[in-house]
Amino acid sequence: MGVPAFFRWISNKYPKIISPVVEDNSDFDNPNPNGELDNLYLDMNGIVHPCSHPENKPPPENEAQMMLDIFKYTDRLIKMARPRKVLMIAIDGVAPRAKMNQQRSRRFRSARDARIKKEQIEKEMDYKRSSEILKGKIIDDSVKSDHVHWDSNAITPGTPFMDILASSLRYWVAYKLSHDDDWANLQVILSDSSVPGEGEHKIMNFIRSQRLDPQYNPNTTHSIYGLDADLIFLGLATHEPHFRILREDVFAKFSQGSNNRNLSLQEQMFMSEEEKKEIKRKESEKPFLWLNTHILREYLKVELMTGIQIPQLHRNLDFERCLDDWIFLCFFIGNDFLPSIPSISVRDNSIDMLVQLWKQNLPYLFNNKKKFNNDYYLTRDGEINLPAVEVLLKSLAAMEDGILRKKHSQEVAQAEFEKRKKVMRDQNKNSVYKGYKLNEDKQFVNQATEANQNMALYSVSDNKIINNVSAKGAKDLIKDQSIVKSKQTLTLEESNKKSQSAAAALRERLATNSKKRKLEETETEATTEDASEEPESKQAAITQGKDSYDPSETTGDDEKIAYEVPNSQTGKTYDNYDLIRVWEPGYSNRYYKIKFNLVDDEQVLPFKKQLLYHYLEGISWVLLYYYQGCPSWNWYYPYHYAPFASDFGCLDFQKDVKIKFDEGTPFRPFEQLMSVLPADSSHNLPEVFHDLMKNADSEIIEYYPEHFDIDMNGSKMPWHGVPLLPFINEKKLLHHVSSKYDLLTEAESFRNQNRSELILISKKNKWYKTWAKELFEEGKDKISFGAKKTNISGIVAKSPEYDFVGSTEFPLYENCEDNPFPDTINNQLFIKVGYDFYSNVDGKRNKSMILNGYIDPIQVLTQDDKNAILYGGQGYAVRQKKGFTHQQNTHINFAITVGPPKGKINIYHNRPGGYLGLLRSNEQRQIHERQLNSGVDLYSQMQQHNFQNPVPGPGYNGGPVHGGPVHGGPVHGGPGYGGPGYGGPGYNNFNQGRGGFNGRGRGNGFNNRGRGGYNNRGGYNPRGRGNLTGGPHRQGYLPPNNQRHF
Amino acid sequence: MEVKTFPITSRTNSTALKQPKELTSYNRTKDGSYLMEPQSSPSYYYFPDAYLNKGFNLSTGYKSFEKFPDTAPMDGFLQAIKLWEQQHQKKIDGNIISFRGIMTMLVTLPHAIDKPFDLNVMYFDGQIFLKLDQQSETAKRAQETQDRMGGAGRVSEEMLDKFTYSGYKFETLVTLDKPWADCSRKDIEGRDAKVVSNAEQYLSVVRTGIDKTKLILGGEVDCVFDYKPTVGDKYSGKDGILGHYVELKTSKTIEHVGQAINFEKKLYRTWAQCFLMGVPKIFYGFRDDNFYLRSIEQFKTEDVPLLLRDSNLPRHANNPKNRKISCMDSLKWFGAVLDWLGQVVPKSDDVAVQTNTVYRLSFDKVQMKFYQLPTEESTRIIQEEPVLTSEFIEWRKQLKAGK
Repeated sequence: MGVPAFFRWISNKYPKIISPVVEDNSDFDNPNPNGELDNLYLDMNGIVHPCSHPENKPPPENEAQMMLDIFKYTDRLIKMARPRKVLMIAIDGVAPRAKMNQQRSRRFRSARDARIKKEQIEKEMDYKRSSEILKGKIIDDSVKSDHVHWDSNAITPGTPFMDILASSLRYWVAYKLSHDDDWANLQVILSDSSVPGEGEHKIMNFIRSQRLDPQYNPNTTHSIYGLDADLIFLGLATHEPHFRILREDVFAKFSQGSNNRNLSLQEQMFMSEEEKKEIKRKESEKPFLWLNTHILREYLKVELMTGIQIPQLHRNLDFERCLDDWIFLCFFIGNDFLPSIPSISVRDNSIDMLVQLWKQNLPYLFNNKKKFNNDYYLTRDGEINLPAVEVLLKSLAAMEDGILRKKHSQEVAQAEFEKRKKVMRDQNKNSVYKGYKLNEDKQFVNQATEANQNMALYSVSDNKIINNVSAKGAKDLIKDQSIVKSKQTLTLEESNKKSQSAAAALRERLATNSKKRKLEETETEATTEDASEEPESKQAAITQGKDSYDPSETTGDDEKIAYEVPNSQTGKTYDNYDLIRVWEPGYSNRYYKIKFNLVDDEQVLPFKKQLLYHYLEGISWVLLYYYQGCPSWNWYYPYHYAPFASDFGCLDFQKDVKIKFDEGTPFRPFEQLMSVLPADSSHNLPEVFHDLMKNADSEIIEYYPEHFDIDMNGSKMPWHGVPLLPFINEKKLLHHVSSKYDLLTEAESFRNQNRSELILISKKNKWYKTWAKELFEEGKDKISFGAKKTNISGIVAKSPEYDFVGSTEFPLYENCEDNPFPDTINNQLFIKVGYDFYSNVDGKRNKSMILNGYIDPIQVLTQDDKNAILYGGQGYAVRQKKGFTHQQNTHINFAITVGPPKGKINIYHNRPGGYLGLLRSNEQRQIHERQLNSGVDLYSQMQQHNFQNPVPGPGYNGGPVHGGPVHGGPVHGGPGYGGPGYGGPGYNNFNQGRGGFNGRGRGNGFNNRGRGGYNNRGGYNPRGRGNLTGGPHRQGYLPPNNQRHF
Repeated sequence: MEVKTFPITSRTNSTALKQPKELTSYNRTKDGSYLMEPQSSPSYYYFPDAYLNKGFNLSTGYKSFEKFPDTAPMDGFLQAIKLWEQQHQKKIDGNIISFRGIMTMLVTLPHAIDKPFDLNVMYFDGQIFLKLDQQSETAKRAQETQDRMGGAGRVSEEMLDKFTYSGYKFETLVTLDKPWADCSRKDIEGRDAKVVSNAEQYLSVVRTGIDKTKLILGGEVDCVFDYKPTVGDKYSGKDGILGHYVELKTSKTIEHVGQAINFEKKLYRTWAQCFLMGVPKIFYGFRDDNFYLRSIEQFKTEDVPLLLRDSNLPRHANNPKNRKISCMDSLKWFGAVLDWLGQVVPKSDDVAVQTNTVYRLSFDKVQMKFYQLPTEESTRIIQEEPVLTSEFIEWRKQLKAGK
């Protein structure tokens, strides 16, 4: 998912979810200024990437320096978050196959970018050298070019770099545990790249496993560090509401006037030492922020659960399930495992649209739940409810034409606007040459239009068309002079016609294509190097295989058949999206034919069905991955493109779709490396594999194309392009890779193993003695325990990597001149053991439910906030705003909203009808009466405080004396709020503005309460309380002097 | 027949209390048989706040209620004690052995002086065994039902049955048979449709004490809040097993002061119940007149005495029924009455005498009375509702002989 886009969207729409991180350097043991935190999870890849190849500062000198930078950054994170119980450090291990396709694209692309950058650097160096030489200076370019070229593809499990990282982190954690008192009670779980699974998902596995332990504290506060927008969903999907995401404030401005732009290569290369230091200093001051999912939950409760008209449905609506459905809807906007449906994007407020559709369909699903597996949600604990999803997708399909047309007309209008703007600007700038300019502009307009209409045909290079057409076809096409010529003289109308004729020509070529296939295959010998130089002579190379998709072939086959990616790779970027003309009827057919090289219309339907099936399989896979852990290590989506929503109509979900996953086993590290790395990055693999990637005779050389096309697929953002890489045949690859295993050295074989998590504790930890005694004196193999005392549960077992009487050495001697760390650490200062938390799971399913004993935090949203969500406002019409910054929310004391309110033990909100509720309201009344009798002018003061809520709601019938909708109400009442926490600073303030309004009196009592957490603690309910307090004396009143603002 | 009496104004000076400790536990199953440790298992509490919005009705399924006679036979209890004694090869250490419900009646007597009761008492093997006299209990209940169905504010029999039912329904609704993690979503969400039965019980056998009297109590425990620690597992907490237990109760919604004052008396009895067994958490479900569950409130047993002491609800001072409740005072009474009982029971050495003599301890709304029952009555009791089972008597004989 587009990270900045989603983050921007969500923090704009739900502004109070963001709060600044308070970083003070007071003692670690002091109360946490951000609210107490039990568990901190670090998705280390979010740290390793910026520390090893930073975007806007010069890269570190060497790998040792990178490690030191990583330590420093991590240390800062831990100091600001102050976890008290558990620290989990997770680095991406071998990923599921479904993710590898994306990793592969990224790595091939980054190799490509690196190549381009290298060329650029050489150019710069040449230039600089010549100019410096002119000035009589000599520069040492060996160092510079060396570190500028650091291959970020090394950040993949199994590489030597990851090995160094793993041992460095182990050393560093051991060092911190044995030398830093702040860590005395911290239990550090280390899941490095030798443990299969993506970092954040390993963290989720841990959290899920802990939830299954009955001893687990349901009020544990969690925080995860990472930049990925996925973390928001993952955090919500745990159904652990005390959950915050810690991230860098990417929108923060650098202090003191400097801007936040990324530095150009030139600037990075030739920066002075002072400049470097300055940048480093600024980097280290970069602010962080919290994304509070407990507040996001408040927002979503309002968003998803309000306005459901059927009382029966309303009170049966389970927020946790609604939340899961919302997350599911968000998957359609984008995820790492599937391409997204063309008509949906975060920028177009598609989430709002999907939520609306969901809400509209809900009553239907509810009333017909027999048809939908006796359920009315789209998902259930990570399983999709296929018939219900079918209803949603089909109602989306009905809207799709409109969406696409609207999108197109907006784009056209936008393009026109940009053009006009540019013309105006140019005119203003060059008013002197007005006449001349105008002429040129006209030409420009024509050209621009042309480019817009026919981008696919011309964007690549002047004399060729890249369209997944085999080179043979392309060659023929280019011979079509009318098209080649058209480029020079097209007008708008003509260009339209031409593009149609081009498409027609294309179809024709494609039709002949398959007939010629046999012939071509014999001709397919030309190498890719040739191709880049002479596109025309390039061979066709649609990889050997089937012409079209036969549905019967995929099911049952153990090796998935990916659709063929043409090997006619020129290494160019093109866009044929406009050829599809999604704004005109018949786009779906055109889409499949153009994107998947289908020839006749008859081919489209069976192909489409197959693709749809895989797509549904895909969304099921993703959902399970998020909720239960990886359902299959080998499954992947075998296409580069998604279907249209309208296509789902051709599939009968009940009949055609049976989804089942085979868990399989993760790849081994070298197998993953061979699957995702380009030949340029082969230095990350043992020597024995290099040939497989580089030698033209290698039987799997087709997996490592040096050049490949990128299909922009209608997007302007370079990183949105789709690299058209051939899919890997798992069996074939594994066969060739494992044939080399005998040749590996011992160390290499070790690196090729998947292992399990480690846990480290300090000698000062209260369990040190017990563990040391049981494991290392009594010689027990393992200890299993629940979370009550240790705050974690699972099994610990002796690890071969740790010798209790040995020592741990500093792993970074090379290149580390002034080592700030001791050379060795006595192993008895800490304990390092293997840790298995999966033992908790043991076949149990994770359920999307709130755990018993969970206590809600203080609510943050005011009625105004809720209204903004319900009735709209300008606030969240998200467009790419320059200089976007999120709302600062500095007036809220977020620290007290973290975790259960202090001293609260009651798991229930205060509701009318109970004994404690009555006592509380009596108390309120007495305070009130005292105030009245002492002559305080309540009425006028109340009026002042009521500005937020001037309109009494329908249910309000408060007495005349106290006027207006009463504040906050008994809100802070309730037994649970008893104790020290209750009435804490500003507590009441949070609820201010909800008094009396809220439509509480509406409907019967159930409906009222059915609204979820946001009004149930109010306890102001005319039905339950009226008799007691006798009319005017509403309980909700807190004397004005108790109103604290913060 | 010599009758010994004891005025209810008696109090001890000190209230030295022992921390209750679970010795063993057992289940009564649907077919009336017993499951002893380690087969015994409690229920688990699970009812998140949001479920209160669903509008559950506590009379749902009333027609299919599986109702079992509400008696408290001693056999399971004595069997559990026997098992414990077999394992530990020693006699359980206590002066009085009884169900918790009887002790609750004794504790709360100062605030229930309008409620007479009859207990059967036996002295055996150095220990006093107490049991409610079923015959008079049944008669008393029938009378109560009659009273409620007649007169002002009367309710139908069906309503009365529903009142009873709603309590069991509440338990079914908020508890799970297994820990949450082991339950399927269906198990959890299907509870409203589950047939309610009062046969299945989980009971705990607890050792506790007040003043000089050591008590062995058996009592039903409604459920476990989070988990039941394994004895000897240092990782699951030192707070003991009892610290994880929960008492479930239902009440009509509280809408005015009069109801609140009544509720305080109820809460007081619940407190006594929990206090005796060391159960720390009380969950009260409040249902309205149509049996809809409106609210649940959570009480800490240890906080209840303060809550009652500090209650400032407006009371009519001249109505003795409404006077403020002092839990401390009740405990002083409880210590005194147990002490008296210990002294007043004749301690014959002859086992044959012990096993054939039944005493009566009763309260007649004025004072406590203790006397030996005529042989005829004793025989009826030994045959129909025995205080001691022959199995247990045999076992104790064996145990003694073994030593």
